[in-house]
Amino acid sequence: MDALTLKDAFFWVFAVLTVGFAAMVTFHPSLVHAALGLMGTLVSVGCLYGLLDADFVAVTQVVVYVGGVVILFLFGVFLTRRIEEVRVTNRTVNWVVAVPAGLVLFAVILYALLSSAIPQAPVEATGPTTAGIGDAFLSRYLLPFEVISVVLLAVLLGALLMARREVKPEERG
Amino acid sequence: MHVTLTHFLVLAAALFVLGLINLATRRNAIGVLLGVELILNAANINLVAFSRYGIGGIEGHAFAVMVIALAAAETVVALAIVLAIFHHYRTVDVDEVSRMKE
Repeated sequence: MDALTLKDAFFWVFAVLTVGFAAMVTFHPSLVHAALGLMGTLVSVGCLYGLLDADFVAVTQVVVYVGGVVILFLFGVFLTRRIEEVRVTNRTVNWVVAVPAGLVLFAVILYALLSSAIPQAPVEATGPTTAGIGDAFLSRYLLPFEVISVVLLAVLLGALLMARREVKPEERG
Repeated sequence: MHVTLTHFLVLAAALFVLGLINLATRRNAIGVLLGVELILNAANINLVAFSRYGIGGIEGHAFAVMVIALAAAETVVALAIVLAIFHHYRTVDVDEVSRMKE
């Protein structure tokens, strides 16, 4: 067994951070803490992307997820906050079923992974990936790219329509 | 022991299972959405890791970026729905909100 390289050490650090923060998301009773745990998970996963030489994906992860989605979640938590109402009834039943089921599923995935032949040697890193991704989006994956633009527009309008408060007739004056 | 593709896949599996447990146990609708984000991230780690280890080329990255964009869109719509539900029912407990209409 050869010595741990710096890259391996980084992998273990961020893997532990990722799983630890994800456990916080799943098991912490407070939603605010869970949302902050999600932020930690997303940053650690972004660092793992960096480790995998996926520079563009790493930056997108931090900008879109950490800068956008987590903030949205925090707003959502604060706007619907009646956390004191969270009751624990019938939660215990869920835990009893969900955690063993999750562990069994994890064991199955682990077994499948360890018994299948997957390549173990990384290919040569090709440097910055942004140009390649741009090429892919503007040639072979042009249609999905355009569909995503339409989806984003639909989301913009749909979210406005959905979250807007209805003006009641008597309020209209 | 050097880090191999299997390490990343096992990590993604752990993230996926944690997200699934979250989906099954949270009763607050926003908590359920947090679990969905974990699952999407697990899928993304797989895409990027496979791409790095020579299965599929840059496509893995392109798909990961698409997944991130769609996850953001999904969050926006889902949170808008949750807010609408909250205005209507004054609760976001997914066990209590089981009717689509009055």
